[in-house]
Amino acid sequence: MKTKKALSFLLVSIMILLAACGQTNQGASGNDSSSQSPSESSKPSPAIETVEWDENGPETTVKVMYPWGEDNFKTFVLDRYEGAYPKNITLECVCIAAELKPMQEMNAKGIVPDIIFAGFGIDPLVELEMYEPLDEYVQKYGVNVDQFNKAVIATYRGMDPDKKQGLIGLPTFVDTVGLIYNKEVFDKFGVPYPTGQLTWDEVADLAVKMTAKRDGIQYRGLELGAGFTGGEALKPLQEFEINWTDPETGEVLIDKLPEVKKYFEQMKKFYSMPDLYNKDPEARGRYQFAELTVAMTVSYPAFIRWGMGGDPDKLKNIDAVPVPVWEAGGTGPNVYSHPYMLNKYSENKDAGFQVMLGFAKAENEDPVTSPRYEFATNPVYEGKNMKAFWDYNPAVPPVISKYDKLVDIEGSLKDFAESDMNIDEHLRKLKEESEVKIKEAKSLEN
Amino acid sequence: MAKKRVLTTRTVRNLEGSLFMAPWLLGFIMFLGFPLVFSVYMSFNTLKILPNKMKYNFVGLKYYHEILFGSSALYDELIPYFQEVIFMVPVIVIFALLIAIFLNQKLPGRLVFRALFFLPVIFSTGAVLQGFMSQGEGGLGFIQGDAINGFMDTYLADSSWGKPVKAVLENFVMVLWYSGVQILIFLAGRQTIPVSAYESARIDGASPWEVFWKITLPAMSPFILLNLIYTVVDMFTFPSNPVINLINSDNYGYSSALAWIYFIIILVFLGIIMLIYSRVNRGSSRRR
Repeated sequence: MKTKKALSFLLVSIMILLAACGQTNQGASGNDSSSQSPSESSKPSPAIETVEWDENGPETTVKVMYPWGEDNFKTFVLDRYEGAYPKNITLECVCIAAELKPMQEMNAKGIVPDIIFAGFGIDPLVELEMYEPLDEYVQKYGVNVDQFNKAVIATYRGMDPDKKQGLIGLPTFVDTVGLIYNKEVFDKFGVPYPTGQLTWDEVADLAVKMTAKRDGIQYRGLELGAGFTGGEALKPLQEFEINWTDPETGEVLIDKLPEVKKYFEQMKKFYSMPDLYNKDPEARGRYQFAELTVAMTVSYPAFIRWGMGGDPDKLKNIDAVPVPVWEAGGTGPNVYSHPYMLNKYSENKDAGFQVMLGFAKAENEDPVTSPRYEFATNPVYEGKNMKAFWDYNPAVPPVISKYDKLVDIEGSLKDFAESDMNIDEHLRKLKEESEVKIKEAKSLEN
Repeated sequence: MAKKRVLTTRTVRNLEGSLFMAPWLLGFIMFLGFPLVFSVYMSFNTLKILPNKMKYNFVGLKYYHEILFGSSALYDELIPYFQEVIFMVPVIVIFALLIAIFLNQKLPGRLVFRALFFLPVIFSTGAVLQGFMSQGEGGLGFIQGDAINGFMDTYLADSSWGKPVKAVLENFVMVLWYSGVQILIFLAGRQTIPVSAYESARIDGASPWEVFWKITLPAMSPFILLNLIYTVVDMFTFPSNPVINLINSDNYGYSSALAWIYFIIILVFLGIIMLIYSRVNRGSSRRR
């Protein structure tokens, strides 16, 4: 009997111990009805007085959530943005990727970053209710957001999960593209170099002229992304201000949109040109433009360095013009910039906002002349028309649909190019595949 | 004068035992029991770890239903791996049995050989093995040759059962790496068979072949079952197992539900193995 009592006592003690251990979580668990929702916090106060950050105020440390480790943090944040944020603020790296799992592990450890580099999309921050719309701070510090890339700001407003056009973050470097061409190939075929922005039809006309064998080497007039099926092949489609899916219901719209059909017709035109599309499976994994056998490609400005290997001999005949558009004066591909976002749970929101603002202003300097950018300092870009990469009006989809990424148009291009290119059939198949993915994603939503 | 309370010897012994048991019991409850029960709870909820709290949202059997009937993710990973396991388990058990018998012989350097076969268990981790496999060190060199590879491509191709056979052959060195513990168990089992049994069989004129089938194998049968269970559990919980990767998702509720479904699948598979084993064992006992 006494033994049983002793054992009972032991078990009860263990339970009490466990209950005590779990108390910190228990107290915080359960459906939260008291905490402020993001939409509530996003409402700007009607009478906020504009103030200035006091650089002579107390020293503050801002924790920056950054995914690529301390060394890169030093190079690409501390050194790059030196002097760009208030001098009484010190930055500290929370070197964790802003993805759902690492962020939850971070939360469990009680680490609270003040600002977050959303390099993996904003969904994890929205899921974990960690984002804070910036409108209140923009108003409070009298920031003119029009100074930043308007298309990116409009995209951020379109990404507001509360659908209230709230500003979800401030931009960093804006990814833009241009038409990069190889003068040597143009010379070989006796075609004059492009001098300004072309239309996709004009690009097609040029491409067909420069797709032929010379001296036993197969030349091609155009390549969009590695092997003509990479991400850059979507640029013509990204020039339309459309959503591929309904942002509310997730309905796949690609088979109903005339713009999508127009894009596939253009791609069919490219893929149907004899020898323009390289059927060799290995071609999908490399940029043939870098092998100097392609006349034109659409890519990012830094492609001239990383894509071409930085070899001065290779680069001497490379130049650029603005990205092609559907019609003269039309919109170019939409642009994006991974934002810094303010953590709703930060205790240093004002200081965090000042840091984000400093970063955004630094990144907003002219990329062709500012010493912060490689385009002004790296000799590989010398003498090239680098301004062309920023010389277009980017498209802005009305609302950003989170389901668009589940429609894998890029992944379907290889099959399209190597099939009989029946557009309706291809879109129907792609729609069905996308519907399965969206259904699965929705079933796991709360 | 108050009567002094004296604990009986039995009570003291029980208390002593409980105290000795307490560290394990505490460890079990804190690190195994509680997480197990909590994972059941999580599987019925969507769980998000926010900076200031854990947010639960009860979803009932949604995740179980989604995994079993709403998506092919589990089946896409489980079925090919399951086919591999069906090939690998007998190969590992037979290999371990033969090596154990070999290591039981009185041969020079026996201790070194025993250590060598057990060495992978000591220093190999999932990451090390993954590293070896990704470097193409998991296969058998002679299979990579044109003749055998061509033969396999012709006759196995990419059929539903051809693929797992090829996968097993391509990672055949894994058999060696998986077998350390099993060899040790078989070795211990082999040493439980009395030497007199072998002596009397030899006197009766039994050949080594007959001795193996009539004495060694029947005497080892409990250890074969033990190793079967061990190997199945080991393979189903190996870190490179694709289902484990699927479980390791960022949705804790979904992961918990998947882990429990997977646990039940392993349990059923073990049940089937034990059933087959008992039938086979009973049949061979009758024949003897």
